[in-house]
Amino acid sequence: MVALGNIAKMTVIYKRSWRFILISQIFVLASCVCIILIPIEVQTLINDGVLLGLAGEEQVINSVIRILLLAFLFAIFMSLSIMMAVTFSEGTADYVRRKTFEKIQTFSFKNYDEHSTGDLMIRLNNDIYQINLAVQLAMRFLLAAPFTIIIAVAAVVMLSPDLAWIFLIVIPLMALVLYFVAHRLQKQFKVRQKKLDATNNRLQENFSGVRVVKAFMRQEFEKQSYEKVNDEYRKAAQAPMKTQYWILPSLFAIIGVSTALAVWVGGQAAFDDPTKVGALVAFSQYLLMILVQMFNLSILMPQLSSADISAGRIYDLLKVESDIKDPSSPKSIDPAENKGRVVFEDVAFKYGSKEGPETVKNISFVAEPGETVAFLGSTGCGKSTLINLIPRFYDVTSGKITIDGVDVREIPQEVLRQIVVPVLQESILFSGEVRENIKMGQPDATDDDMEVAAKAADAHGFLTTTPEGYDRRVSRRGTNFSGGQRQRLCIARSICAKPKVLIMDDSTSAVDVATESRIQDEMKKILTNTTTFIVAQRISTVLLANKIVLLENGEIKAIGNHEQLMKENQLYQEIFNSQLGGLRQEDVA
Amino acid sequence: MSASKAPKGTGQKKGTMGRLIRYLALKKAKLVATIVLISIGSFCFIMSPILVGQAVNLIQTGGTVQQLQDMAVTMVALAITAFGTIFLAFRWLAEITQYALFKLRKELFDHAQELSLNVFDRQPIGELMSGTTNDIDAIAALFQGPLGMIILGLFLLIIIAVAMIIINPVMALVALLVVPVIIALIWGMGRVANPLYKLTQQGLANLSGFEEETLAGSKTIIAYRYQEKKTDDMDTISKDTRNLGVKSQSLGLLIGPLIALATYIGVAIVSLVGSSMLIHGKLELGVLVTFINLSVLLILPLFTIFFNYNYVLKALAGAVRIFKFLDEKPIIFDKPNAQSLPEIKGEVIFKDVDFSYVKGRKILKKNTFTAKPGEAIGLCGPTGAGKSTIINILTRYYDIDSGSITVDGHSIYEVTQQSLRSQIGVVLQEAFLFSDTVMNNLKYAREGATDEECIAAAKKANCDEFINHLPEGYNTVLTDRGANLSQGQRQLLTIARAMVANPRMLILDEATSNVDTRTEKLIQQAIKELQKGRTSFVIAHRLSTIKDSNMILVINEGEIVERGTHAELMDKRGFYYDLFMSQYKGKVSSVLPTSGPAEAKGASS
Repeated sequence: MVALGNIAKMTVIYKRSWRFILISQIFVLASCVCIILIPIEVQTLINDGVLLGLAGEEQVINSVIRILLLAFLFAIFMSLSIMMAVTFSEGTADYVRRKTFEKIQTFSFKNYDEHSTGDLMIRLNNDIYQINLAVQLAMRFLLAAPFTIIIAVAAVVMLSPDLAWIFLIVIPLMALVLYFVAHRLQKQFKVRQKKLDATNNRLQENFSGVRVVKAFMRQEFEKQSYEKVNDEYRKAAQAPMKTQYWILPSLFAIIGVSTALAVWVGGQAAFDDPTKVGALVAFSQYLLMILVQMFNLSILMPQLSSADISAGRIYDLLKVESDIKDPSSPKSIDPAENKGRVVFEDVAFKYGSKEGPETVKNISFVAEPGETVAFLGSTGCGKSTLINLIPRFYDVTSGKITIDGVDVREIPQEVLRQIVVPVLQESILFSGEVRENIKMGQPDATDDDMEVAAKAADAHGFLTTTPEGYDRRVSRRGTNFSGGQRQRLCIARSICAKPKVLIMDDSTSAVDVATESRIQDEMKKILTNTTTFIVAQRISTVLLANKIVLLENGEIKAIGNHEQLMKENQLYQEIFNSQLGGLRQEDVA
Repeated sequence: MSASKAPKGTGQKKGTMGRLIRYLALKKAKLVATIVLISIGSFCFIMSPILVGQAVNLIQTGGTVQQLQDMAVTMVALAITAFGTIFLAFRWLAEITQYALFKLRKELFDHAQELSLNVFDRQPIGELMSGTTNDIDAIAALFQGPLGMIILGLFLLIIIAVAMIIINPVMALVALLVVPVIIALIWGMGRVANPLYKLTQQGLANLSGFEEETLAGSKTIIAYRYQEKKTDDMDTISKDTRNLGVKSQSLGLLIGPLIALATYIGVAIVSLVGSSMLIHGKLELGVLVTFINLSVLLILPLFTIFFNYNYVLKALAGAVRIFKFLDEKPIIFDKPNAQSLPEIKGEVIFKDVDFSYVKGRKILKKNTFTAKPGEAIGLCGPTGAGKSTIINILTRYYDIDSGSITVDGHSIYEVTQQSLRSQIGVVLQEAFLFSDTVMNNLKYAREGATDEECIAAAKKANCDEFINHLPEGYNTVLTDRGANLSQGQRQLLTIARAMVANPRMLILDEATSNVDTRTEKLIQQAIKELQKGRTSFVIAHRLSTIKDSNMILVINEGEIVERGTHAELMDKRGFYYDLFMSQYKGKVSSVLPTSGPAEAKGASS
């Protein structure tokens, strides 16, 4: 049996609920006792009631009343134990889910790099579901099933010892079938899952690439390709079904054969002793009870095993530590007093492990308060990496970054990110009101502040075309806005946060040049004292910067404003000419 | 698949059920055989308690040991038959149900291929996917276990009832009273439970949606210090999920003890009535024993039917949505007597074209222009002006509201989609590639494309070099939508793919995504190569891409506001001029070839 250490640890998290668990188990066992007593009562009804003719009539009535009583008590105890089991399992799931989510919220960028969204979703949903189910089944069957089986066997041993030996055949036989099925199923489920994933992936690709499929008119090809994976899945799904379908016929056969044996042995005995008839009836009922409980166990055990694996994965997640830690003795910084002078001193950075080249190195420059500094260079030259270091999304590998003379690592993250606000490459909005989204960095902002920010970002216009205006709801992933509108809302959000240092990572790529100019002008008016860092692919975006930092292969090749670089740097000229070349003298006249 | 309300009445349910059953009946012979075997197997199984009763009778009325032994042997034979028939029947059922699911999935996929783009554009692909897969899963959940149990349960129930009636009709009435009572109880519970189940499903979808959104926006949350707020949100959502889960699961599981209780009440009643009849000489002990045993056995079919009925409801709900999808018709289709478009020379005429995706919101207004064979036409304008829409209507992804579009004098609505699209090469904004080998991605463009043709196209599109640097060259498998290539390389590859198709006309929607200068040069070269000798439409987000076009169409708010060559448009000093000059942000002086430091000083800012 697999070590169930993890799942056991998990219930210990809920140690304070031992009383609850105890009561629920008492109910469970009580329900078992009730149901076990019924066949005995039936036996009594026959032996001491019916067989005695008229004299036994009273006994019959007594027995029937007792059977009804036991049945009701059974139902009550069982219902209570079910409700307690479900309450406890859902409560456990809720607790684990919240704890796990809380832990994930402490993740840094690096942690997220190492744990894909898909992976985290599986832990939050699938793994927690496995644990939930296991706890519920355990509360209902872990104690009850073996208890019932043992007591039922004991009852038969007591009441009709000459029939008890049949169990010696039945129980191992059923156990064998159940074990064989569970074992084979594990492998077959894995194969089925793989084939299901393949089928779903093919479907996903087809749906995502629908334009390509239609453009090249490859519908027939797609149909054939899907048919293949579809058919493979069909076969893979058939296999576990056929395996599981061993159980019921085996159940039927075992019941039939055992009853036959009971008739053979018990029947012969009944010729001499009529009370054996009652025993015969009781026997069939105990047989059914035992087989059903064995079946329950066969579902419980593999589930415990799955849940243990899931619990292990949750623990692994809970052990993850963020690499960005707050300083033990933080420097007190008043965000209001901050000027925003950012200095990079010989900064180098490398993602991930020890070996391999650094993404950026020998980075040194100064951004004076209120300046606009732009980064230009080819993809992968390190632009985004650099600016991610300022708000400590990643920490430098060597060198240091200071704001107004204070190393960013000595500022608490909560304070640092009030001072340094980014507009990220991907425009993410959250479902809720537009208002909440814009005020995200500064929940106390007034509606006036919000509108000023929205106007500067050229968002106020399209927002006020609808009657709800700022109350308008953003749908999941912000799909009810266009790409350009989302970008502008994100810019508004950053302005509203009143940063001292603003970072714009290719934040106007979906917006046309004219609108971009307008936005840049407005922002300059509102954020006069804000130091701004811009990363862009379009050279057009950086033309007005105070300083343009030209990067290649992670190192600074040149720093200067547009005129200086145009005169002195060949790489810059190349970039400029390829994007904006071709202006003629007569165009400017 | 759009969300749909629950089946309104039993009428719709019956229709859906019938339609679903038709899939099971695809293997008619097997299905019939399965049902026959299940009935035989159930019969054999039910004979067991009946024979026990007969044995008791034998004992009471003085039979021989030999007769008893014969009975036991019969019971063993019946048990083995039960095993054999049910085993075989269920194996066949597995094949039948899986084939039904296979057919359903196949029809879904094949139908999706015929549907028009409006279906794919009206919601995020993720929603369409999860809707489709969830609904099929609901049907599969029914087919893969519960269905067999329900069928078996039905037969057991029928056979028990028939047996009871044959043996002793009065007792049968008493014993079977319990069945309608259970049905009524379950139905009553269903009325309470179903709205609850729906809420629970919604709640789960909500939870999952919240988690996905939070994870996708994790970086934003870090940047804007939103962690605590999100944790608080999760506390609320998680608790709601828990509460709903407790309620709906409890309700579902309570069916178990309820059925057990009802069954044992039935046993008690049978015992009481039967004993009374026996004591007054109206019943034999054996019959009483049989009835008690059968009454207990009733728990099996009652349980398997009612516990699993849930699956039936969920499957039907899923089936309703799937059938809705299957019944949806494409909005773009070939006219009945559509001709094949002969080999295109390349004259394209738009006349007074109006188009709107949504009624009332015109995207294109009275667009009129002529493109001569071999001309390079550039389209530019502010974001959302309608440029990309032109691709959608030229390739008939969508159809226009009014006006006409002709190619070489043939209206594109009088020819087959096949003949039209196979001659137009399209390079889209998002460079979509399949997770297959590079070579297969290239071959995708045209059925029957050879390796040599693909390599030649790759060379022309500046791809050959970087492809050969990949671990397995042309046989390298591209991961998840081409993630092991850079953006620029993916673009080049899609251009190569368009070349393999050797189209007579080209449409290119320029990518807005990040590409470095060097790769950008390669891309522009490749595009020029692709444009040679073909009429081409290039939608530009960077004006430098279309500067050399034979004609530039400037589109603003759906209308063509200016047209001409770059030089003509610049000379006009109009909309295009403003657009072009705004790129320089006023820094024109430093750009001009003849400007030096002296002139720079005096130039306008």
